[in-house]
Amino acid sequence: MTFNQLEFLFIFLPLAMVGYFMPGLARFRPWWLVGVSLVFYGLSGWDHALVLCAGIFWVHLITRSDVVVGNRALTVLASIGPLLALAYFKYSNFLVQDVLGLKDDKGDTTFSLFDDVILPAGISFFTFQLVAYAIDRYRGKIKQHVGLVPLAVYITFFPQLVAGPIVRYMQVKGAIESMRTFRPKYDAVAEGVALAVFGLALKVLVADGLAQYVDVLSSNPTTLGPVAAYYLVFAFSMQIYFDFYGYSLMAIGLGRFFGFTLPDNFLRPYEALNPKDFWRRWHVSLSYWIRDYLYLPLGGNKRYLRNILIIFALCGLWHGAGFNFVVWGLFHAILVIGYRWTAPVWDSMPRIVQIALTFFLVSLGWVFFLFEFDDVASFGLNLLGLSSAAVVVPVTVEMWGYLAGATVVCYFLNPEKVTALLRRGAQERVLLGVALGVVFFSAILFLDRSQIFIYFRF
Amino acid sequence: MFLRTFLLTVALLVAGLMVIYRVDPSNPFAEAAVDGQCRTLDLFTAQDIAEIKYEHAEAHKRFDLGLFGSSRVLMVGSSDIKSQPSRFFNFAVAGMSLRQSVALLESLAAAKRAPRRALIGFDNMAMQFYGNAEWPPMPERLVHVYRDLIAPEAGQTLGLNARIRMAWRHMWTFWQTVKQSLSTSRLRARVSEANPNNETDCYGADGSRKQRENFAPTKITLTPPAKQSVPPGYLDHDMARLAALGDSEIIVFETPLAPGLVSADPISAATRSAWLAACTAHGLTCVPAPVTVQSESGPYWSDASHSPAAALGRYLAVLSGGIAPKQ
Repeated sequence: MTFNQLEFLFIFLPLAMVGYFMPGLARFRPWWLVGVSLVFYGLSGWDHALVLCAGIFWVHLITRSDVVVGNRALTVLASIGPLLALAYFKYSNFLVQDVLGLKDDKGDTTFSLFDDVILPAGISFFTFQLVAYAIDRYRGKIKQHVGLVPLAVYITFFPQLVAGPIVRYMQVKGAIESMRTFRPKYDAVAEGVALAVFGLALKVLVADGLAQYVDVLSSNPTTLGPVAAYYLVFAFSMQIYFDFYGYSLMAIGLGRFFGFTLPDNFLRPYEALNPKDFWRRWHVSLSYWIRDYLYLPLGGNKRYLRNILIIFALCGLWHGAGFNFVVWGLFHAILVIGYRWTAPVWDSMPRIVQIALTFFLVSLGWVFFLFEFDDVASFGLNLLGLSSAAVVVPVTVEMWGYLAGATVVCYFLNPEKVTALLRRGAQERVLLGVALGVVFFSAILFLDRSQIFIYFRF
Repeated sequence: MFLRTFLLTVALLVAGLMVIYRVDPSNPFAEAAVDGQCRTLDLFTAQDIAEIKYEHAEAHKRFDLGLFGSSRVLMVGSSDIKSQPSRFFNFAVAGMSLRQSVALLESLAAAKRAPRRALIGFDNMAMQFYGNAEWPPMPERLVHVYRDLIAPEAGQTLGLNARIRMAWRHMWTFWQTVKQSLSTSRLRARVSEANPNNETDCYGADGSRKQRENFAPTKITLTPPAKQSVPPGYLDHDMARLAALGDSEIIVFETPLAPGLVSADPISAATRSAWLAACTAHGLTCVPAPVTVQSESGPYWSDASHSPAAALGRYLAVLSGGIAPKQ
């Protein structure tokens, strides 16, 4: 089940909330939340819900005793279970086919043993949360094991289960501990509704609107002329942003209904001044996870070059099992390192040039998300206008108009700031109510052509 | 204040949408009769097309012959069935179930517009699906829901379990129609005109949909039904509903499958026998699928369950020819 389904919005969510706030049953709220979250997840495949449950049990069993605090072996053991599951489901095909190049006994170019392995949605996200919990226990940040049900609430909480934000236990500790006594406040619910509506609209009206053009153009990567190729680069850049940002906003908004304040995941990333700044703004919860659980343990800035290359390569691999994702990660590593070397020059450029240059470079990087590795090179030739196979694919006024509209939304609409208007006068609240009502209704009408969230495949 | 305004705005917009859906759509069949060109109705949902066909019949004097069913009979036009265009209308809708055909005929009868002779295609293959009527819209459909749940004439054959299943199916069908209604494509279809054209897969003045001319003769296969979803008791109930429409001559015929597949599997055979028993018990004229409906020189079958329009039309003309319409 996904947020952009009518069944979720009008059946699952209301039922989940009715059960949660049922008078007299507050003591069962943690169980209820875990139950509905597993239903939410299991509707996409019950076997995958078992993988999720197995990961939770594994980490629970190993981290329940305080012996795990400071015990590196037990922490590795706790982490290795979920990581092995991630490796099996996500990377076995990549390892066998692409890295080792094994062929099956018929001499086919692919090895078919893992062909039937289907990636559980969001496995990369909940695996990182499980590992974060285990490491935080090791570090003593979580003084005592929280128990199976609170751990399950933390991992399975359906608004953030499938595509983040990647939450640390300490960020939601208060909400989990006070679930049984939680009473929703009007302002928090209103803000939650506003954020969720913004998120849905950004996904359905902006990202999915662009997707109709991106899908057509990206189906012929080798034959696009330079204009269509650049259009594709920028349109996909906007699409993936609004797709993921929309999901994150919905997750944060829905979290408020249940008393959870999930952390921001996007801080105006396309206003970043440089590649380093970009990673402080894009998928923030992942950036901080990598910093805290990978970069700093590797030695941080002491071995800057090596560590940057490692963490960005792994960051790419986290996104997808393929060389194109690894190269995407290394591309960003080079950007970050390049910025470090050229910072005095870069920082002296006008602010708008810095933003434009960063956006351009980041957008180029998304090409590795869009195409298989083999197609990237020929697409690059198209971008440079050097491809002999390129044909003129018309980019219509409508397509430019849509991209321009998305750009305006990107740079001139700040959902968090608009939502803050709710704390001002009655007039603003009424206006916002009407505006978001119209936006919600419009988004609902377009749900039938909405696509699955891009980050679900990670 | 914010939440109240937000909810009120959404409620008003939804109410506006419902009003648009309640306004009678333009009548493409009447327009096609004027200019002789057919109309593409791709954006319309099955419930919209049923509605438009109903409105067309309501605005027209009573037809002599009406054909009801799914895509399997939708392509049969007046020329195929050897009828005068003004006296025949094809009420079929792609995806229409037997239950929907019965509901449409009942509505036409209530408006005194049921055709004098009604040929109703019974789709053996489609009995593996729920097939509840999506038209008329709510709240009118509540009458059908109530009658399905009570179904007094089928009291002996329908247990509580079957009625609970039927209640669930009505809820499911209702949700499907809600989903269809909350979409831009349905809204666009309802507010725009169906432009005339001469493409294939468009509708003529007689309600039929043009079929592509010649399919190549190819081997056609059919996956037999995996289950029978409509409980036999409800088949009996629906036949009783048809029998109660005394003002029309009703012939229920099993739409043919590709030659050689007619007695293909036990589920189809059981469905046929349950339907035949119910149909004849209520005094209706019931015709199981013939062994062959085909032309030796083409046009050929497009797939295993959609027979060529001309061949099926000839068969249906013969089927209805021996029965004089009531005056």
